Amino acid sequence: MSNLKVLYICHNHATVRPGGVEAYALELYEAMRASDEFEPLLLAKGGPPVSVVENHHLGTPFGLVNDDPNQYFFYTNGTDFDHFYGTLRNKDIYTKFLHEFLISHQPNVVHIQHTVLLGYDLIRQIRTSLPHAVIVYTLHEFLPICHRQGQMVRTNGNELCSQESPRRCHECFPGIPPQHFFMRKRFVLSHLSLVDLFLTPSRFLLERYVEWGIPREKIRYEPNGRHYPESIVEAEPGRPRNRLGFFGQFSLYKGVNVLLRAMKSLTGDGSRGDATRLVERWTATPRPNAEDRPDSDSPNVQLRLHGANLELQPGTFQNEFRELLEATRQNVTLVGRYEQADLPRLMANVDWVVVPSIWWENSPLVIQEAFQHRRPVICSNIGGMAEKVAHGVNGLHFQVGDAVSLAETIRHAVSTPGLYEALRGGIPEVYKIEDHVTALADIYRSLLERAASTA
Amino acid sequence: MSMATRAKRRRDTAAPDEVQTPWPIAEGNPAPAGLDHASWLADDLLVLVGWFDLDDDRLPEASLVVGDRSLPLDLRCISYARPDDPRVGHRSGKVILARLSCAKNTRGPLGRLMIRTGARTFSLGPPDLAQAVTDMRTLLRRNLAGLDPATRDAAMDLLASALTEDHERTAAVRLSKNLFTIREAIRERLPYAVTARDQPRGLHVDALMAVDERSFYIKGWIWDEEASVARLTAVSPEGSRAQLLEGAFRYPRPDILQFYGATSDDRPIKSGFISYFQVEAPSHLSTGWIVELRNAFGVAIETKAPPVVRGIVGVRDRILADLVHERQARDDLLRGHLFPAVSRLQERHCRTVHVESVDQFGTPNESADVSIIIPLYGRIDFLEHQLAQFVHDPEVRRADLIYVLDSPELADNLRDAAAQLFRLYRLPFRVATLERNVGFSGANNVGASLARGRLLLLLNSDVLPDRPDWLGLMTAFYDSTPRIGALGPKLLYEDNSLQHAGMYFSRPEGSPVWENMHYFKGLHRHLPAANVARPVPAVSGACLLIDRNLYREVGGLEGVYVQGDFEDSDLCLRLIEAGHEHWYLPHVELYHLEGQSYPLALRQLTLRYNAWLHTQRWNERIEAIMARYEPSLREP
Repeated sequence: MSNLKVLYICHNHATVRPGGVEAYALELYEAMRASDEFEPLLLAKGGPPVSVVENHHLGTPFGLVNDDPNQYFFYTNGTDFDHFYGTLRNKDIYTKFLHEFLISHQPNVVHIQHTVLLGYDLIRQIRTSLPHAVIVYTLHEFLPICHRQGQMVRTNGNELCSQESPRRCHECFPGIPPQHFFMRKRFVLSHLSLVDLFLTPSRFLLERYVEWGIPREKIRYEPNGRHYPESIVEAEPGRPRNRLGFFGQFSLYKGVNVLLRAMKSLTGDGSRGDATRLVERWTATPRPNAEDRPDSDSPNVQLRLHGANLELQPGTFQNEFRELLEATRQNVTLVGRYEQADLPRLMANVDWVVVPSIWWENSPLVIQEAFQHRRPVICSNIGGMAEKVAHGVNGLHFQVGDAVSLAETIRHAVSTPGLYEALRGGIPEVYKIEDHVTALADIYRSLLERAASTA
Repeated sequence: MSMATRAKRRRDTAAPDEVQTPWPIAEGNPAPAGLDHASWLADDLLVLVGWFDLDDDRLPEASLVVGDRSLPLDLRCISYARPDDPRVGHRSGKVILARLSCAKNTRGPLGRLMIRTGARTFSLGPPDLAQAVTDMRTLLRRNLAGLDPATRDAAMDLLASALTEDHERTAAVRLSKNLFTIREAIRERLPYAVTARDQPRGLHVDALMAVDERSFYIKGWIWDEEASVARLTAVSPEGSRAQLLEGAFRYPRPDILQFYGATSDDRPIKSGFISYFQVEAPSHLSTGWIVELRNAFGVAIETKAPPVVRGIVGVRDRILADLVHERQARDDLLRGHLFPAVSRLQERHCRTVHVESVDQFGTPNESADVSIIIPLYGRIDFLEHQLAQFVHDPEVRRADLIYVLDSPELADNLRDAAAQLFRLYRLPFRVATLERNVGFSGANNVGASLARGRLLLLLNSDVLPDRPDWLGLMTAFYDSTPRIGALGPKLLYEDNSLQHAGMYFSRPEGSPVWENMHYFKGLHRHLPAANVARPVPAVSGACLLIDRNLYREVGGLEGVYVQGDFEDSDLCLRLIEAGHEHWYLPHVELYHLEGQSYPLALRQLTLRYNAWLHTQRWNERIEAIMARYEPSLREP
């Protein structure tokens, strides 16, 4: 019997622009290739806006990534994509081209990692072209639920959102009538109803989708597996554990400015009134005891910022970031963009990894990476972060969006004797990609058996 | 030569017992008949100015004899006094408009002109006739310009009557332009209205809109400090005159009072006027309208109207917007002006329409039981959203799904989109494209005429089913209910509140108008009272199931209403007249995402117009029906 073919579909290829889902999709593809039971294929969206390069072959939207006969770019017209409904307006891309691709490869399993810029309609085309294939879809964030880039953070004051409805979504986007949000959900669910099984890398996300309307029997928790790093660089022994690291996009949702504000108050530069005002601006309810915060005896804390894409952010965010960076330059180092391969070297200079996201997160890559390198994590007390990091076991939680809470948590972390070692001891084994492949193989097989028995 | 001998010589062209009178008469003063000038107004229209001894009350018979053919002439004339001309004597002058009714271009060789009145026939030979023919400008200058204003107006009216509805468009416009030139040459010019504070009177036309070729709707204001207004006259570019003042709707214009420094206390004058009027002859030109004002002292001024606004829907909506000027409880404006204008526009809007194309996508189910008719207007994006739901619904897949595009400008977009969407969803449907916009009722009726199913489901494009199997439940209920007319399901807003649970009619205390109401609108879908299947006075046309033959028998949807309101209740009332009963079915639930595009302010005025019209048509009937329904329905 020939190998079962699994087609992975992703909205971008990790070699074009790095990103958590893209990196995971490529790792998974490569790990699957090592299996002797499955033959993987990878189809990643190419062309704008993900890359500047457009398709240059007339008459086909497909292009090769390299010499690998199983990796393709799928060039779709980014400007033709309707970001509200999540569909490409020109349906020929599905009915003509994707259809040809699918019947040429005849995959037994299609495992979708993302449909942004590709359109939910591609699920319908897969179902039409391959009536017997199994369709698996990994949900990495809330894009099907939330029009605000899938963050479930409200436009008014960046308040966290825990429930969508046409009325509430219309409140976030007053220019879009509630009826359109109703239609959006119906439209998306119409296509998603053709998926055989959804996977979520966090339980938190799973529950959100069940509440939203995915039947519980069609969704399953399966964390993303990771390659184990070849080497783990231990922090040099004996010195104080006062070095913090931030890894990720310099963006609003990743909360980097919350961290910088905490650093500003910790290093004694921030005036008391300033910090209080910031608290009021960034949290729903100001902390009543914010005035009691001790300003003196600031601990010596160093922060290294690893990341990029500041230039893609709104101007007000960029300005605040730069001002805060200037105010904390004694204690904060801007390292900048990094590659996956740089990680062991960069981790060597870090004791704690801080994940201050102001959106829910799901299964942040950076938490897995921190745990792989056995660094405890200080993170916001919500969503996927709170699920993956156990407070007091392998990391510390702080009140999301609250710079004062974060500052207190950092102070506590660096000045409590024995805490660092205790938390380090609580870090779990990271789920290995090989184990993930085995689990997925089981999932694919059981779905295929079920499909065969009902056919 | 005596008249008798002349007459004898021409006996070959006249009946033997008639006396023929040559015309003009060369000798003798005064002469019984004469021709000053003739000129072509159009290829088939000759204008003659002259005199002849003729009983004014009787319309003469006339013909043009060319060779051995006698071409009948349609003659109209006016008379005027010509006391100064010795040739004419006591006889009256005539301006004659002669139409060659059976020949096309007859401007060619002229024959003999014969005018018969009673026992006498006036006859004019080709050389004399040819000599009299001159260009229009000369005729106007020599023969008409010098007449008194009243005669000139009458002559202009006569010439304007040359325009008839059966003129071909290009010829009509050419004739209109000629008439406009004539009007400018002979009309009496009045002092031009000047809008200034120091002027005792003012006159302004805000808008002039064409309802059809002969019907117009005008609004503006008048101001006269010295005397009351005696006459207000609209003059078409072609010279037709229409009186506006009698029956005009007058309303206060605080801006005009303020401009002239008056207050409403000392001058309770309604400066604004609105009038629907008709002119005798059709008018095609957009510029050149004049309005004249004459006050009780006989002082007159005139003003130009702005270019005529055309376009059925645009004009209709502008006219409806004027409803704000009338108090809710009154209907003078509505009855006298809005209704005649809007109903005529609706009639033009909905008149028989040609289906430009019907495109079939996929293989149709020839034995479909239900035809689903979905008009698309303004927005075609709903198609994709309905298909995304219908595709998971086996009953809809088996139905005869017909989209009717009522926005012809989107035809190409829709056909392209439909082809692409069909390939993705693989659900068979048809798209009928109309050659022009015909409104909600027209589009549904076209869809019904194409239907193959035994039952019709009228469905709005913004209705999405909550879950599959709804269609089967509806047809089963319909088929098992005796005497049923229309069946309507529960319709929901996007927040799960009730949009429709059956319709009833309500006349608020003190209001002359019945309103269409939806039971329990805005309340939760699980409200117990809204979850009982029962007969109702009417159901919404947003989702309405009806037997196809029955729909045809009662005449389908009625086109008199504006913009998709009240057509459904009118249909339901006609069905009740025919002995049927309507049912509400609560366990079928669909979402109706209504009202996403129509501007709210206009919608309210449209509603008022439709409600008024609906009441005019159905008042007594509704009273009887509601007496039967009301007590039992509110509390099931």
